[in-house]
Amino acid sequence: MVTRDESQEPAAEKEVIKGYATIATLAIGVKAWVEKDGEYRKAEILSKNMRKGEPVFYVHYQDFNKRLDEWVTAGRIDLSQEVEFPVPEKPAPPKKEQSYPNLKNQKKDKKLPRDSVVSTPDTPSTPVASSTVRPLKRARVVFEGEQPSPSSVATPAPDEDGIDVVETPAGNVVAPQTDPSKEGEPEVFSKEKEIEKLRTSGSMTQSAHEVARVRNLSKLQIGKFEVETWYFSPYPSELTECDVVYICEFCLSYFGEERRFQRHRMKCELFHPPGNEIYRDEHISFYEIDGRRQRTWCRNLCLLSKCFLDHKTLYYDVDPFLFYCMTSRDEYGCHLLGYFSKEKESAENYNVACILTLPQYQRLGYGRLLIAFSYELSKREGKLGSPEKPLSDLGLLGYRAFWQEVIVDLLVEVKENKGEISVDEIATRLAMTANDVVHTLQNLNMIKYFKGQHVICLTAGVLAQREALMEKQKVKGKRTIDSSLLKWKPPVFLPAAKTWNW
Amino acid sequence: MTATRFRQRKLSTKAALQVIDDSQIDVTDDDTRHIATIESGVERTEEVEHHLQAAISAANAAALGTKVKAAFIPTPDASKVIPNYDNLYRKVYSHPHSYIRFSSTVEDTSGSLYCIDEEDDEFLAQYNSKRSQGTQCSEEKFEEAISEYEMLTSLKQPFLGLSEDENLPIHLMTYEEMEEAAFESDSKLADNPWAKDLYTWWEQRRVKRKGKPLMPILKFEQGQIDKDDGDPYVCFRRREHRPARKTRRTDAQSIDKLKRLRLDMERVRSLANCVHQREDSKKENQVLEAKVYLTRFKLKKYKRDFGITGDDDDLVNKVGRAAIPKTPHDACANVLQPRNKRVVEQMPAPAPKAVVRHDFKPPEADLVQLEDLHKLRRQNIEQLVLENRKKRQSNNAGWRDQTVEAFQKPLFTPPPDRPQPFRQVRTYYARQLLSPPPSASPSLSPSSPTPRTNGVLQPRITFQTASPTPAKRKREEEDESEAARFRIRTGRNGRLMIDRRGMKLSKKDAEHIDERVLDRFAFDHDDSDEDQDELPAARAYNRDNNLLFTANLFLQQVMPRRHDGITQPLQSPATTYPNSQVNGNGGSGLNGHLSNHLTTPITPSAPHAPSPRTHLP
Repeated sequence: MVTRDESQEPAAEKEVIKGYATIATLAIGVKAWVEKDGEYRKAEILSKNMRKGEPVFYVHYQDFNKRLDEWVTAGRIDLSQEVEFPVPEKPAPPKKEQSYPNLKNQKKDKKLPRDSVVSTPDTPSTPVASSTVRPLKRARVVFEGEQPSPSSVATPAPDEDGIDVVETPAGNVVAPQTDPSKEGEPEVFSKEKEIEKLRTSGSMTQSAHEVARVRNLSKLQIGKFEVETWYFSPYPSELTECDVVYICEFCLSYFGEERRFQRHRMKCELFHPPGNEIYRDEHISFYEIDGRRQRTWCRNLCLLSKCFLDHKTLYYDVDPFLFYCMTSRDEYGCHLLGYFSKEKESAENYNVACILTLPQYQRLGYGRLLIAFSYELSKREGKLGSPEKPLSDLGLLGYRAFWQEVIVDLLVEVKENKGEISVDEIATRLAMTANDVVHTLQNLNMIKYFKGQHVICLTAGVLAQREALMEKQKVKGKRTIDSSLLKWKPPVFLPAAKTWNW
Repeated sequence: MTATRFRQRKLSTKAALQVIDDSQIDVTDDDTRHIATIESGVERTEEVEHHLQAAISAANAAALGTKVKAAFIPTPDASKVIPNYDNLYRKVYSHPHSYIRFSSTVEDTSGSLYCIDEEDDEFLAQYNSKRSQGTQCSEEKFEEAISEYEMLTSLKQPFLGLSEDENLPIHLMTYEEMEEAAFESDSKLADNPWAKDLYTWWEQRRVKRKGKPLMPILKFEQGQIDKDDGDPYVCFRRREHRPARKTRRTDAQSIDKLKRLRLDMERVRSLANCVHQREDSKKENQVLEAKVYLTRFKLKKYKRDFGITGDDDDLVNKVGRAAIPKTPHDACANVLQPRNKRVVEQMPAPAPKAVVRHDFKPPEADLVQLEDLHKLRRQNIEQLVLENRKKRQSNNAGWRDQTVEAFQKPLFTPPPDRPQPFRQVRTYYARQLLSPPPSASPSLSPSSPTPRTNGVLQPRITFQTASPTPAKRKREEEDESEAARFRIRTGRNGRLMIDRRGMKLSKKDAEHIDERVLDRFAFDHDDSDEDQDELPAARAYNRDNNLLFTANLFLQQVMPRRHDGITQPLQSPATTYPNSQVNGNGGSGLNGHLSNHLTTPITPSAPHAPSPRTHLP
């Protein structure tokens, strides 16, 4: 259940309770082997539900990104192999418990289904038999053992003769379908600190701690596309019951019923993001939207992008951000392709907070354009920028590709002219941080030590990649940002605006 | 590899690095372990993910020159296209030539926020089927009404439907309450003829939804911090605002602003009060006026009826009887006149029919005429001239103006009105005068009133000095009567004595400066009259200087002449004292003598103090 934990503490060999399971004993937190694309992978059960009388399980495949998490039927789970039952974590520092008494009590109830399988009070007061009572360390609820709830009755035990599990009340099992099952996660960080970090840094990223781990919407209809969601997003919880959530392509409003959506489309008068156009070339336009002035639109945008960004939080409001939205034009209007948000004032000089190409437009080179545009803005501001961390897997690949391309281009040019350049100069010319430059050079194995000096080596591989890319661009046409078409001055905000939440 | 390896230096970001390619470098020399690995920025738990690692290693391999198939990270499907796109979106958009500037919000551009669903459709069809063609409710009007209900409810009952206990009864606003709320918030509800009919439908749906809005809304924080924090559906919390930096200056500034604001408010209030009073008294006046008119009307009738003649004055307003207002306009004028004369002029002219006034004066009698104004001005000027002349005369009382009389009057003859207390003593009078203004100090100027020709042998000579500069003279005008005056006398045994008067004032000024005035200068920098306020200090300073100047003047004139004899050109007549002796401690008897002398001749009303003699060294 704790992939996170394992990877972080590989040294501390985790005690794993193994055994065979039945469908009935497959509870949240259990790791079983699930068939995925023709092979069995270890996967953790994050939720459990009944669909048409059959149990279905929401599983997270180990070492796969969360966006591949899915609902599987019992048939895909290989019960002939041993499964791993979750092990209670080390007790959390008691002071954390004190700081959120209410929260804890509230969460206790949500935990019950898991408790019923995972943990048992040291002195079971219920009449139900449990074969083995292991000395358990309570992870989250320290004093739960003193007041055992009636539903926490059984313990899976590593008995030789199998597992003795008592069924838990069904209602409890089903209940947490939309509930974050993050209860199972070790709380190694303090919630207070997390929120404080959010508040002071203005960061849009957050720990998975806050996010529900189960995707709550299945499909979105955006414009002409039907898109599967990747992650949880806090749309009104009623919408989670809908098969498709309809999203207006222009105002990004969300509707659960098709009829409502059609009515809305008859009334909606927006044809482009509601802000000022700051860039326009043959294909695309960029719009700058102020989160404070366009609260509804920006909230809608954030809700939508949360479906595809794991490390994004909607904990705080959109006021301190500007949104740069990339659109393509046709006679229907300006279709949103992707966007990035940017803090109005970043304490750490980030030039991007969140960045997303909508899934229906991915792998078309738009991500590169978004990144290029963000650096174009930084050049205009005269600042060195870097994207806010953490990056997602796709984000890292996108940025690395972009950095490689621009840096290698620059170095080839330098090599032909002057022959030498410092890291700082590269950074300044590309509006990148020196750290990102070194990171890229190092990653490409381009920094070498030669004759007592560091040199930048344009390796054959790197040059070959560049050739290939240029070849591809010749065929497909290269999309670039032409800075002369950018009509933009860095917006200035009064100190009063900062004081009053922007 | 060479045997001796030196420790590599750290990579400096400032140092220029040579850019070379593979052909120029000995590959075996490569060692970059010393460069600290920079984190990728991906969370460590995710960095190990299978697909990312595959992609990264593929990219690394490509960078090393190996031919590998680029690895992609698989993502859920997003390629399905809907068939009815053209039904939903219209092909009506054309992009303007200039860059778009746009500030309307989603709310501005999406009409009524409520959107009909299928349930509503059913209801609406049923509802409209019972009605004639003209009175059917359109979908737009339906949405409009429901949107209003939703909006007003969220405004008036923001916590509806938030309660945990779902069995609690839901109290919605009644239609009447809704109407009231609509009136308060300026909503369009009242204009919608179907609104009342739709209320029941709305109420029914809302109750069915346990008080929650008909269209799902986002979950916002509700102030229960602990609970909200744990709820992943709660989003877009407000950020606590950062406290502004507080300094004493900003504190003082805001206090000042508040004070000023308060003062302004008070002023507005008192103005409003005044206006109110004025209008009240106007009204009172009108009423009285009407009463007077009616009474007169009656009186007239009685007079006719009983044949009373005479006393017709009672029927008209008498001139000068302010107590009885003549016409409404006059009444107003009377009330307002003392306060603001301009108001009288602005009063609307009497209506055309009232050309003949009650008091039988020409209609323009009350108007201010230009001629009158001119006349008044001329009179004022004449009066001023007269007054000035008088003042000068009184100033000059007891003095003889030698500029005028030098060659006309016998010098020996004292002015008629002037007693001569010191018969056998030479006396010099020095006085700062504003008139007649000599252009410079008398000691230097040839136009000085000193009668040089007659000087030497005169037993008694009086002369006047003017203040050293014209600028000072101007200032002296203000307290001209208190100007410092000096007199030099030669007493027995040739002692020299200077009598002075008017010095008390300079002392007073000094007090001024020390305490009040100086204080004011120190703190009141905002005062735009700073220059003027400095005057007292300057004046006092000037006066002291003046005194010094005058004193020196005498010294120069008197003292050297003890040695020089009669060579002095100007005051020579008065200053030949072979054995003159400056003696401050001169006979005590002289004191009384002096004060006697001073009190009598010169402007007896002047508040002078017989100051002790100034003793010259």
